[in-house]
Amino acid sequence: MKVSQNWLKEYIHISDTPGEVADYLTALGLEASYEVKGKNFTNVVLGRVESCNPHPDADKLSVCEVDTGSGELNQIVCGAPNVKAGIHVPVAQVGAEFNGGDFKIKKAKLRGVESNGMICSGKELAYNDDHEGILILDTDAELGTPIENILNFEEDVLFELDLTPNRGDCLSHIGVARDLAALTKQKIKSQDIQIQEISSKVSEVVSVSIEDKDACPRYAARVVKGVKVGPSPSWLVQKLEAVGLSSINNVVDAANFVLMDKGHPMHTFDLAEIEDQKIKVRYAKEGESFTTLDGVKHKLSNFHLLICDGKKPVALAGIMGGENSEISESTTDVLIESAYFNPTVVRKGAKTLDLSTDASRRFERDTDMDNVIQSINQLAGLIQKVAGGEILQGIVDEYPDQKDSTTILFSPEYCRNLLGIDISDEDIQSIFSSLQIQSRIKNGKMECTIPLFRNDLEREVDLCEEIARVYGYDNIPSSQKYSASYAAFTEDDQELDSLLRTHLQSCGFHEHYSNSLFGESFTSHFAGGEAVELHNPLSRDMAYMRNSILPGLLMAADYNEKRQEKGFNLFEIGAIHNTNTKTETGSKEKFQLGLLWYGEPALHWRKYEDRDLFHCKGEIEKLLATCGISQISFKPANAQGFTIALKIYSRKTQIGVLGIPENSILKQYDLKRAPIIADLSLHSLRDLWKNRKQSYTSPPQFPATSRDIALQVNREIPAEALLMTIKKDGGDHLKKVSLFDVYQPTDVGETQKSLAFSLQFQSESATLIDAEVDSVMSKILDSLQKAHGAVQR
Amino acid sequence: MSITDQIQQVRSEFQTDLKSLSSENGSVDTIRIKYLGRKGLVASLFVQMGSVSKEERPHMGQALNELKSEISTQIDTLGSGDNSQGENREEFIDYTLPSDPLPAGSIHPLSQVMEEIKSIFLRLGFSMAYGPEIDTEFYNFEALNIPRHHPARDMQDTFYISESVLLRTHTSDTQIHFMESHDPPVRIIAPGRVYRNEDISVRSYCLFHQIEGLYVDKGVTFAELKGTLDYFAKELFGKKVKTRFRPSYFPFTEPSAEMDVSCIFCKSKGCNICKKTGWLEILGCGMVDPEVFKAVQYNPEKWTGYAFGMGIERMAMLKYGVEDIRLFYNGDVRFLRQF
Repeated sequence: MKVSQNWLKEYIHISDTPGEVADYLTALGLEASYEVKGKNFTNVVLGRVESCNPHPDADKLSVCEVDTGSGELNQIVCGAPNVKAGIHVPVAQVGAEFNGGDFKIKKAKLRGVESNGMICSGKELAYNDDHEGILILDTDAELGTPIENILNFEEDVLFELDLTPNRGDCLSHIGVARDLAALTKQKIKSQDIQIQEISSKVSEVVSVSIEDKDACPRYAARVVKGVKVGPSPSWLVQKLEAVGLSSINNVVDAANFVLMDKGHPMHTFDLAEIEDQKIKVRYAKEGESFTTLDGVKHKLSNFHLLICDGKKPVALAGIMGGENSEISESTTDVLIESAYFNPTVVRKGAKTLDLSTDASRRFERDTDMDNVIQSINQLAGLIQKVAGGEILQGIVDEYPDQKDSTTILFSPEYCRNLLGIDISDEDIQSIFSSLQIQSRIKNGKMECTIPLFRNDLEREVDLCEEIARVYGYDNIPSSQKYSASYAAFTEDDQELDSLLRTHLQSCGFHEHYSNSLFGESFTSHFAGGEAVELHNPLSRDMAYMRNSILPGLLMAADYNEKRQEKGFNLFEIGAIHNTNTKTETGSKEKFQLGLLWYGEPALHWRKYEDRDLFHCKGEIEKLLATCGISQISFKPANAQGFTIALKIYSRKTQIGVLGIPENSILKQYDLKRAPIIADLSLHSLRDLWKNRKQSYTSPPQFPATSRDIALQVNREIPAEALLMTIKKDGGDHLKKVSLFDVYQPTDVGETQKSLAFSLQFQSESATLIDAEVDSVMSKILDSLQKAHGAVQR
Repeated sequence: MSITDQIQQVRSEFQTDLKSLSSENGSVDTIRIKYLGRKGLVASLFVQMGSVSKEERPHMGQALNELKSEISTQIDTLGSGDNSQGENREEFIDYTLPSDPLPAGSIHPLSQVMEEIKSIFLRLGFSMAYGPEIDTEFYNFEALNIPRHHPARDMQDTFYISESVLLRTHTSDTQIHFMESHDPPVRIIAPGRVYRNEDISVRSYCLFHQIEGLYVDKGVTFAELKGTLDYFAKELFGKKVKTRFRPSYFPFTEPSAEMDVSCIFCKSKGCNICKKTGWLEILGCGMVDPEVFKAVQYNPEKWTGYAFGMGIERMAMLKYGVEDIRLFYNGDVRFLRQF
């Protein structure tokens, strides 16, 4: 919303600097920036182009002879496409200055041709935004007249307000003036609207009926007959242009003027197009079509409110008029509509048609019921003033249920307690009065009557905000102490996450945040259940919520691979979703930790082995150990999207999966090199971490003893199985088993392999004797033989 | 041969080898492995200790240990080049060769900023709470006093999954979830990911992260809101920053405010980052609207509270001077390594 300071001055006195006024407005909650307008040049006069010839050396330049009334012609080189002989133009003479001297006009040579001055565009003079060509003036003023005597360069300040949706009342100059008046303790200057009516009555020309009075509680109409539609006078054009509206014709401009002034949107119809002298407000029929004055044909639903005459719809209520009844040059009789439409009805209608207008924006934010009459009178008077004609007597005012002012019971004590300020009842009442809120003390409380133009004020707490606003948020003290209730402390479900981040950081992982929206094809690469689809996605590439943490990591791997990164580790902690009919949202949210190892270690003078699955297993074991999670095992398994997959367990709880993605999956990401990836359930990690062992056993006092065994076994028997057997039969004294060699003996054929284990035994209560250990060893060997066919070599 | 004899034999063999080493230029390592290796001569003597009688064992053990330390000392001296005998074999080691590559990783700048903000509020006695990214209209809008067909919905372009299910547009939904399941008093902050149906550009993304704060107790005042948030701003941006509160509008708070901090880049003189205003907009806040209390069955006569919310991306962009928001999400390790 653009607000002109000159316009505001018609309501209040302003003597502060533009910066101060903008600060006041911001402090009132009407966030403002400003721009100073006015004459920014010297020495620009009216001239006439006497001759215009092409420049000998430049296609786009013309050499003009310009008469500025000095008795001799000035040669000026001009680049504008619209320059020609015979036109009147603004001429900046040699010595002219723009923007306080930032830019000066000097004698110059342009491509070898002398130029004495500059013919100006509207933008160069800051008169308008036109920079397509020079400003051509239609004037009979004497040549050499200063241009400011011909065009209006009124000094003004334009405030650009960023309004919040609750302050529809400030979509008008009077609304902004009211707020400023409250802050600066002034009374608003009242405007006297007087109109001259003729004796024939409006009620003889038009009748109004409302089908649904909730949608349209009030509809008023006036008629001005015998107007002459044409251009607006320059004062009106300038006023509208100052706030960013372009002039259409005098009748429409008059309506726009009142809109900007009072904030009440009205519509003007060509009365000749209104059939049967009737106005009827009704809802559209499902599928009914209507063409608005912008030429767009809309298909309506039964919640769109229409203004109709005896036969057809003529306007989309509160949104836009119809093409069939708009004011044209041949219009002589104007029907003015001033109504109050239900904000929700207008909003829903405008939203579904994707049609937001100056009118709909105001109706949506609620308008002032009283303004209906004030505004229609002002507009009738203004139309008469700028377009002539006669105003018919009276107003047809269909207003079945009178809306009363809201009364709010306000407790000054509640307000003081809520804001934490010490403000007297008198000061509160004086703030109310500055906002035109009438207050009356009754049993220690205040009975406040809210003016209809402040329909955002409905409750006691809304009034507290008004007190705070005018009192000044900056004047409310910052409390220097605070209290906390122990009862407010609750447990943090995601406490583990920062430990994971720190651990992974020190292990060389970079944390990644990926977009959680992606295309359908990415939802089926890995197991994740059915992905949740968006109803209104930005694009098909972002139509689904991620159902796995892995695609985001693979996309990042590809991004980096394409940027010549040879080796890196990434991790991401985030939510994934899949559909689930049992929940309220039809979806289930899970948190995952994803890991990715890509490429080789840095080039180095010492050789480092490439990271393979065994390295990554180790890294996962280390991560889990950091979280106090023990008894980890990895089981080869099939997993969707993986060519090799190991499921990760702690005892019997599956924590996640580690492996290498399939080639076909890698192609989807355009990855040349296969990374190793892991996907872990954060819920499992958090649970296991919460229940981790938090006790200790004393370090042993007695020496340990160890035994090495070499086994020969069928190569298909997993090492994990042998280890399990050893641990199971090792008893309490077996403290540690290390698998220290795996080899293929030459003497036993390819179906066999040989594994060497070192077992360490220790007792908490005595030094173990050989016989004890030997007996355990033979039990272990026995079981290994029985369970796996393993023999000692 | 008794063990004592064997010890003697090993000792003399070692001396012979040492001499031949100096003349034949053999390797110290070969000798080390021969005598001290896992299957070396000394180790094999230790293995035989099992067959020594109990009485003799301590004596033998001592003799063996002496042998071992004698050999290892001599080998060490050779190795270190300390000995004049080995001077010409001194190995030159260039300790300026690059170290082992043990690169540190990084915690995402958004996580770091989130953690920093979190720690300030945890110090002030706030607890952590979380809300779901996919939520219903009730939690995201209605319970927060944003009815359907209210212009306030224009403030947030929403991704819908169905008529009543959506991707939350703010972490304020967590206020409702938490109050529904906990009795007052409440003192929480709730970080999380939120979504807006906006085109992706340098300044905006289809998702971002917020931290929500909520405090409900008896007698909470606007002055306390100002005090807490002023403390927070000074902890985060430095003791010298000033804060400014100006009226704003959020349907779920009344009165509502925006908090600005004095521009940390130009010290309030006015620069491009603060758009010449000298102030940076940091967060939205206000006193919890009684309608919100009613939606969660808290008695607004009895309880008052304040709420606030801020964007993590905005904080991180300010803090690190990041100009393109998309850098946060593409996983470029050249970017991530710097944090």
